[in-house]
Amino acid sequence: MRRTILATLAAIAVLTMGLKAQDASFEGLYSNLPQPSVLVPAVPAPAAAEAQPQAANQAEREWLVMVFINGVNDLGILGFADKSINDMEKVGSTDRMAVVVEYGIMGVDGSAGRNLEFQRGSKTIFVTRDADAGRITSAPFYASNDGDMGSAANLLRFVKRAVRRYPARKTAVIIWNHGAGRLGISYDDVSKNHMEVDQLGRALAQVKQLLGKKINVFATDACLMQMAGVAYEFKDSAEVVVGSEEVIPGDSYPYDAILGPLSANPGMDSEALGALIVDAYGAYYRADVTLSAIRSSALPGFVDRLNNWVGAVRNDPAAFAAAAAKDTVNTTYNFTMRDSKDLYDYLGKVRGQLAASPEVRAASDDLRGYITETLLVKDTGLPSVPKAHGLAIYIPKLRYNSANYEKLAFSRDSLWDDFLREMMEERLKP
Amino acid sequence: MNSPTAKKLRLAVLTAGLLFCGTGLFAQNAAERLAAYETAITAGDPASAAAFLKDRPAQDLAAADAQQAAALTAKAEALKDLKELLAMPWDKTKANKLNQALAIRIDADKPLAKAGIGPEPEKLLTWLEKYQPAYPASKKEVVKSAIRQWDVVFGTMTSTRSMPWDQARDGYNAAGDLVPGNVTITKAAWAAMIISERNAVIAQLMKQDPSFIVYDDAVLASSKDQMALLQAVNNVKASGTLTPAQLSQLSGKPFADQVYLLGSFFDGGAAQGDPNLSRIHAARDSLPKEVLPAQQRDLLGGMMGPAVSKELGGTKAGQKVLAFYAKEGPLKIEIRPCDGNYSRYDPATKTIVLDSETVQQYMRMKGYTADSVMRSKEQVAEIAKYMSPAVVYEAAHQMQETWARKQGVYKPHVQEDEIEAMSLEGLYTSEKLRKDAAFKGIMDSSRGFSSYAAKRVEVATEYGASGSKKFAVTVRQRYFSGLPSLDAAASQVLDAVSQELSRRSGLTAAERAQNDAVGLNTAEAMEMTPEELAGSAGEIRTDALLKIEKDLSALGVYKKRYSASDRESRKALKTLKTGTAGKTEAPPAL
Repeated sequence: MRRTILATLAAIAVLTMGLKAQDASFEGLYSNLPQPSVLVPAVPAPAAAEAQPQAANQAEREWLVMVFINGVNDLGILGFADKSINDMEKVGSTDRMAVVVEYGIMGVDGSAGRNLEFQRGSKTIFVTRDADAGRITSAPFYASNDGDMGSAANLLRFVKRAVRRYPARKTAVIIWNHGAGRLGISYDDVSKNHMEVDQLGRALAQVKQLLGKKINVFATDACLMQMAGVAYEFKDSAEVVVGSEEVIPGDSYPYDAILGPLSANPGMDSEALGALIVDAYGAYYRADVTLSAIRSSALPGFVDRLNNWVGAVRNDPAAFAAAAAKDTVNTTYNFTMRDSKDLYDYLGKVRGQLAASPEVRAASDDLRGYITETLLVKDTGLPSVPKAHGLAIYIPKLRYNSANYEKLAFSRDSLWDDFLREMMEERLKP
Repeated sequence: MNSPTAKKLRLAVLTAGLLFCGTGLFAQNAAERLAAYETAITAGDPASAAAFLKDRPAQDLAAADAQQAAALTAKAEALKDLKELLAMPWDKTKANKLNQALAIRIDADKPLAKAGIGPEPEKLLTWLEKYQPAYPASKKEVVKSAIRQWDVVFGTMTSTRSMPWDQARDGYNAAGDLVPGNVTITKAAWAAMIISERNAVIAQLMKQDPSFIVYDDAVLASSKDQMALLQAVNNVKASGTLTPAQLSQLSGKPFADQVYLLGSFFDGGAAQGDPNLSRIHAARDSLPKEVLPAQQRDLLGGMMGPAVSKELGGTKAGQKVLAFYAKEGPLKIEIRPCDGNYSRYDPATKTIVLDSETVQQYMRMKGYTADSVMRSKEQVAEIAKYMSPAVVYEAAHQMQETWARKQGVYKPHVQEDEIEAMSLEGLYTSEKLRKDAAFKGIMDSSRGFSSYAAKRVEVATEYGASGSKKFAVTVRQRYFSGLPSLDAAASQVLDAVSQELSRRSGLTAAERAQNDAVGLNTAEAMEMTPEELAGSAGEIRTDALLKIEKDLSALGVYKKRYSASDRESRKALKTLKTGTAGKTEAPPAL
């Protein structure tokens, strides 16, 4: 196990609370953000599990939490991957909750010179509890030379590895890395590979096939992933989809604050865990972040209502003009990837311009109500980001990216892509 | 290899080589030869590797210990493959291709490392000095560039380089104190890095210093295209054909938006034949009306099957493809985005997927819209004509997959597959260019702006002119340098599998059973790439490992198939050349 330099890590961990995993610049790194509050489970932790050898017939646990940590990039160098695993080790696995991590990390050695080091390959650990916050002590039970952390096939093998060794009634899969919303996730700087959203969707479908049922919670600990087109890709594979509309700070999810309560109450269901992740995240960062949990069974109903709204807008020239207007789009709350905008806010902006158009107003109200009441299990809803409501959607400024968006099941099943093309047609008018 | 024992062993290998060269002067026994092979191959001797792979008695003797035999074969195949790779004509323009080829061969877990070549890339230079001393200095320089030797990459730079890595960069805190974030690369650390790690560092350097883009052919080509596009945009803007309103619409817009808007000013086929506009149409994003949405893609895909079949009829390669689908069909075609590829074959659905972006690019160049295509049989037929070489190419992949499934063997995706597929495509395109004036017209008018059309013509010309052996080298070097050859793939998998099986032989029956209970089964293993298999042998069930080891220990089955296909294509090309349609001529330079 390679260790990153702890002193530097500690310094950076404090200083980089504002570091966005998707930011291209270092802006915000040294802003005076509050120190993270260390959340300790409110209830006594259950008996910690020992590292276990491979076993096929272990007693079934309540939960298997699988975290795929791709630190083969700047996030690894900055020590965030190590930090997340150490957070998990604060709780560790229990006899009712197994936490298994696959990680590939590049980093720097312990010298003042910060010499670059590559891990080579990936390792899989059964996370055990320890008191050492600066060192990963969980022993790897598997090491692979094929450490491509940008490979959906590698993710799938990891899940199979974990599921067959640590059977559980409920499963959570978390991908930890850079995210670029509809453009993909899990960028590996050595293999130069990443997972496209449709590839990831296919991998999760295979996980569902392996499990014989949906993954209970699928979460992206990566920036900008909670978009309609992205979540829809996983609707048949996961019950609850957790992700962020906005960038996620380098510190990532507060894993100890998630695993602690889960280990104390492993009977919780998919939605309860989804809500727990959102709450713990909001409590940890307290400002300027977003995270939401989506009920995947509600996604078809969401698309029906979205299509209804698009149909109503198309039938009403005034409404279409309002919806397609540059001002409407430009004033809609957008995230760091500027063509990713908050859907709820957009619908409100359009509705606000329509004195008449009862059908569009009704469709808008219906859709907005459905998002908040039915689709979302939980949203951070922090006061500092009042216009973020848990679900982003692709609205380009001028050019529609067909190479990417037409790959998504969302484009096939919804009228949103048709609406976008009509909107972009308007943009071409002088 | 300087000790008396080593000398004796080398003599034994030499004797074995002579024996199998047909001299029959000295009948050293198989056991002595095998011992000599083991020592020499482990020392990286390619001649011994080649001799061992031809020495059936020694191989049979080695097979007494299946795992040791597989490990030795793996090293021998890897050495043979390396020798053949480096024997190709490499010059400095191909250094980046050689880099890709070496990156997949020289690594910590690769069999070459067990023969003393790697994981440190500079060990290759030592090996070259020892076993290929006759190589010209120019080739050795290309190898140094390909392995990214420190002095080549960093020139006279001292022994360390400090650099940011995306967000990991030096900064200052509120008090103005330096907070280190940069990483340091030392010459010593560089020496220990494998090629892909060096490439990762260079990719970061590229972001900071454009001079490093010489190490990436794709980035180089892209910047060249961008320069040509910039020139085209400037030419159109200065041509006086734009109205003041149009010029104003372009003003202040990002370059990609300007290209897109210019396309919209001249869409619908306006000003066709203008090279500047053709370049702009080819490079820009599709306008909304040019995008093929899912339902229209489904319809077009359905129409493409019969339309492409019509194109294939009457050509030698096409007949082969049609005969295949008559037996194994139907020919299923879908139109979808293919992540930057022109096409792909999806074995799960037995469907050829043509890239919707490539189709849309053609539509843009011709001034077609999604609606016009849906309404016009002629436009569909034209698109089918344009995309038909891609169908032939993917049909070859479908034939390969069907063969492997019927044989029940593990089938890695290797360079030989691509040689076969590109040969079939080259044969088809070559014949179409001679016999079908409309096809030739489409390709000639598109190849200046579309990489798809340019590549089709290039492949046909290369195949028609160079013959199968030379064409195979072209495919290995120019198009698929990052894909392993059959020998390389087999050696990597065999090495990893034999090592894992040896490890398991030391386990108790209970431990092995436990391992197998949670491992990947045969079906799962058969879907893995050689790289994945080699990296993940430890979690594959024993029966699956044994099956794959057995498959890859008998490469003759695979080679026989590739040879038969090659003979068939060569024969067809010969017939084509002696036919009435005349010789393939190289297209004029662009």
